[in-house]
Amino acid sequence: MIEIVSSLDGEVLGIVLLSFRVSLTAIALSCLLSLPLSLLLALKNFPGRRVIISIINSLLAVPAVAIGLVVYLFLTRRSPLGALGLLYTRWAMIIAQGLLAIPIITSLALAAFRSVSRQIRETAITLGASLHQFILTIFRESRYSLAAALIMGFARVIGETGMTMMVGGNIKGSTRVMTTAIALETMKGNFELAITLGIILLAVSLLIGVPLQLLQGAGKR
Amino acid sequence: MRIKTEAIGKTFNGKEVLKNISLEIEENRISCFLGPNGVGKTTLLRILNLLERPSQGKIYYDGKIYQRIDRLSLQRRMVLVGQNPVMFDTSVYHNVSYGLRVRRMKDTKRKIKQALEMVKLSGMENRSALTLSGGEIQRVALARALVIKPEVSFLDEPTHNLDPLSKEIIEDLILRLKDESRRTIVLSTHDLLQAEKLSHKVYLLKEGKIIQEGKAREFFVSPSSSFSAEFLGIRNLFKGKLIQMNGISFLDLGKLKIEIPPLEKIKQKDEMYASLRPEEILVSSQPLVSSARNSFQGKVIKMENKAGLVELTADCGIPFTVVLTKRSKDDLNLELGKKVYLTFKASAVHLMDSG
Repeated sequence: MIEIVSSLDGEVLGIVLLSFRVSLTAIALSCLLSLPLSLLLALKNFPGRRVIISIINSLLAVPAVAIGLVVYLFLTRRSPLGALGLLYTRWAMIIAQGLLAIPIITSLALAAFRSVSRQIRETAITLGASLHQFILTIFRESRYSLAAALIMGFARVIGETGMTMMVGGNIKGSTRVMTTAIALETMKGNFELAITLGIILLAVSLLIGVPLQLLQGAGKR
Repeated sequence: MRIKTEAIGKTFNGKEVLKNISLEIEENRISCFLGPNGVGKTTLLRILNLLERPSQGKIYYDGKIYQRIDRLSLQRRMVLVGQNPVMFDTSVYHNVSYGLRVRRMKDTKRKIKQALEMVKLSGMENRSALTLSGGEIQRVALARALVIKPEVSFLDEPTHNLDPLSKEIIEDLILRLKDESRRTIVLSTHDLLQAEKLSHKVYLLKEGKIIQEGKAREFFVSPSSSFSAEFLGIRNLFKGKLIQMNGISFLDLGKLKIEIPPLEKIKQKDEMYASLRPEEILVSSQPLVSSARNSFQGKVIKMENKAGLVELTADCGIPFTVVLTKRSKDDLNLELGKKVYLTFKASAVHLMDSG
């Protein structure tokens, strides 16, 4: 145990931090699209709304490796976006993870916003809320399920391996994250590092699970 | 703020719920929409509060036609408390302060304390609003609306389904506001006596239309249609002189004297209307010994079957109408011309002044 802890050297720490940086950035960016979209879908009735919702729900089922392939094809040198040189960089991983998270967060946030009753919305309006005060109220009323949506998205992308490997390349010191490192080290037979990272990843998932349970409990009150 | 509507109509899925509503809400007065459930009272209040758009007609606020661009500033001058209000998922304090916060008004703490005192919930600031009882929710909702001091308050069935204590607290509060006459309030109710008690002016609605407006007591005296008479349940309406004997108050109807609840200030010549719900009168074939103060002997002159009940009219010098079940009628062997005794409590007599 002591050996394992002491092996938390610079390399391991770098890998862990990079994992968090990539996945948190991916979540933050997908929120920029997901939250306004789900708010719109929850509050406004416009033509095409149902179609968009069913598209999002079917996107939930798309395997991550397919997203990896699409991102790869778009970023590879010969592709239109190839000139940007993003393939095998952190940004490629962020893009892929962000795309993976968008349907998850959108559909969970949509459910969260929809759980705010019409009466609550009208109470805010009749008490004089402006548009942005109204939206803040919707966020506040759905805060538990909303936080749960973000955590679910984060847990999904930080544990993603194949797709991240495809577009990130698992380059040491540059795009090597926890999951890709574990896969590689295990295959190399270097179990010490694999287990260390595995424990950390497991701890992260468990630590994410606790607030998630609490939030879901609080939301159900 | 003056509110006027011109021929407002509302259609939901092909069903017309409001027809041709033209009215002018009096400032600093309490107006009341009265009618049975499903008559369009709620929709009308929601339209006036801009929560619903009318299908036809125009609304004028301070003489100007409503335009979408003014929505927020107009909305902030009025407020609606719904029939089943809901609370934000936070403390009572933050619920009541909502309207103040969005308007960036100052002195929140003191105003909230006053507002909670007004609805008799002092010290409840830190309670989670989701743990309140139904009556408390209604009262907090009222505090949350009135704390803003809106120019117009819409109260939809403010005592709907409430415990007696909450009902009394809310009625007392509205009565106080009625006496102060400094706020414009529009409320709705299906209870005629409440309408008469709480408001200055009553609009009687039937199937989405206003069929009569004025003071509630005028409806009693001159119902505009058989519907208003029926809805109002006008069966036993008497006009008489108030008199006092040995400290007991009576209404002298000429042939009869009815004992009424004690009144403090009575001028001898005061004329009043009294009404009595047909359900409040007991029928018996023998004189009753009871705590009820009024008992008269009479003769059955009319019997009519109505929706499983029997409506009986007995002449005790003046005619009284009574409602009883068919079984009671059979048990008492009631038939035309039979001698009966009618008994009712003094407190069952509802008084309205004739002025």
